[in-house]
Amino acid sequence: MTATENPPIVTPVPARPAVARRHRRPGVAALPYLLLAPATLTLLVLLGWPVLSVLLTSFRRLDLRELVQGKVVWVGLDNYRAVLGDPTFWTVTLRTLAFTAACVIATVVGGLAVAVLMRHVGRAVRTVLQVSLVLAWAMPFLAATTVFQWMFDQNYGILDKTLVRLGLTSFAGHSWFTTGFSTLAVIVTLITWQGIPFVAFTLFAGMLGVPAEQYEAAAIDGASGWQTFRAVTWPAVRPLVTLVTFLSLLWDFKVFPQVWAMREGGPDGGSTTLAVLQYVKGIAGSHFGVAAAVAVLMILVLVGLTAQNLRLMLRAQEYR
Amino acid sequence: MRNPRRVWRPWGAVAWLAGVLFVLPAAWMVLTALHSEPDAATNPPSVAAPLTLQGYAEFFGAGTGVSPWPPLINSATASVGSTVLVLLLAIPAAYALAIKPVRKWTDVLFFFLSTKMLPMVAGLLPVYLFAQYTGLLDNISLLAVLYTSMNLPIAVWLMRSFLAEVPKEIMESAALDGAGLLTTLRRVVAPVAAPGIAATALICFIFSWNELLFARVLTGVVAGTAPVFLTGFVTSQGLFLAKVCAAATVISLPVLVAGFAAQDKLVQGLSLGAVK
Repeated sequence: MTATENPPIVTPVPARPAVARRHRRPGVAALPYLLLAPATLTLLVLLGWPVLSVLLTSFRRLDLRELVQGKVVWVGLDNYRAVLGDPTFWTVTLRTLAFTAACVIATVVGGLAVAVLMRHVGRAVRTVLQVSLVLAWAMPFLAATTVFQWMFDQNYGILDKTLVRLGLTSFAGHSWFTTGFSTLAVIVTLITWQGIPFVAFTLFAGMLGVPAEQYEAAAIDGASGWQTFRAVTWPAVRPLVTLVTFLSLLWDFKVFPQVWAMREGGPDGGSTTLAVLQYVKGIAGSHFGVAAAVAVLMILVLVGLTAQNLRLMLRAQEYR
Repeated sequence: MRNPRRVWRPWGAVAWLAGVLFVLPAAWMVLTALHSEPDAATNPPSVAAPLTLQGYAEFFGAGTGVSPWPPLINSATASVGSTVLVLLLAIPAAYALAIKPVRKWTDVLFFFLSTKMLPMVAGLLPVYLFAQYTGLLDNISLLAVLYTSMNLPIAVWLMRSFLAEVPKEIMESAALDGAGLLTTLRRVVAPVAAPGIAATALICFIFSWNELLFARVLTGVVAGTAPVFLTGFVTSQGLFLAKVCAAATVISLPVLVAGFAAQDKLVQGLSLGAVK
């Protein structure tokens, strides 16, 4: 029965619901838990078990030999020592953080801009925009990556041609993939392009919830576009911005297929992120123990990055 | 729309520009798919080259005799199967969290979301070993189950916010009128939550349809999905761009159709929850 003592709505005097609740049969109290059980158990089994397995593997030496022979060799913190003692790991971690920040900021700011745009244009134009967004969203990762490779290609790329035509002749035959930085810039563009649709749709949907009177009042008060945005739109969509920032953080920090498919972490490891490093050590290099240690460290960084964000989000939900 | 006086003309132009920017890569893909291989690889890119259906013919097996239908059907099975599973698991869970709050329900939500912290690449080895051990390698149902677990946390989160929009008073009066749980669900909850369910389903479907990493490692000849089939075109020798673009266009089509059909629902659905 205790389950129902803690309703999420903060009401000063919850008189009527309390009366209604007293009449419930005992079986009803267990119902929420029964409803929650299947999803929770599924997740515990399907995701909890790999997490546990990765954690245990990170304390073992598990190369191809041990894997084939089925031997279990515990090495304590050796894998962590190896990873943390490798200067490459720190470079890659900093690079991944910068890469994630660039992706998340570009996606959220771009998505917000597109959402505001959708609110301002007529129905026909908005439909065109929405269809374009769905197109970008729907494209398989690999197809999108291939198209971007060709767009940015040194010899065949449409981007260099366009820049030359615009008068920037120094871009003739410019290669975007010679440095890690510009390779990552291309990948950030790709991920932002694919990430904006979800963010834009979510934020636009949030803006639809703002009562029209508030905009009318702002217009009567003679507020400028920016003032209206700050006073009316922003407070309404801020919780949503927190949500999409959190989700983008989760996705972009761990993103692998696009980064790998673009240049396999090259040139010379210059576009290697933590997810790629983990793949290179593990699946490609068959040092599964070391790879697992990298994965555990990634989880720790991600928890550190999102903990504050998540706590704010949950608190906001609690006082709805 | 809501306030025509405030429409500032340049916005329309900016919107068109943004639309073009988003559509450009996709449009280029569709166009290249209709070019012959030599035309697709010219320098500078030839926009006005003669159109041909050769790329599509090759995708559908002309020359190689490899049919694209098994991978497409595999993808459909995994995506639809996992989306249905996700909804079956997420709706009751979200209902419990939103309408009949459980004690410490924020902790439960935290647990659901924290499972998204695991880098997917890290899960590959344990899942691969498990599949090998149980003989589930190259089996499409394993993928469907895996996609379910990947989508479930987000689905529970989204659905919870949608269901929280159902007015409590209506639920209570339905209960007072003696309506059973099923009747309440069907008459009161479903109509309000339907667009939200559609939006969640679309998001899960797009993710499963496009997933490549696990599909590539865990499937082979029998259960290979459409994205895996697509990688086959890239690694082959010689000119492949038109073929890849044709394949990518066909593979994007189901998601496009679903997205186009659901875009209004998507906006409507997303506007219900998560916000207030």
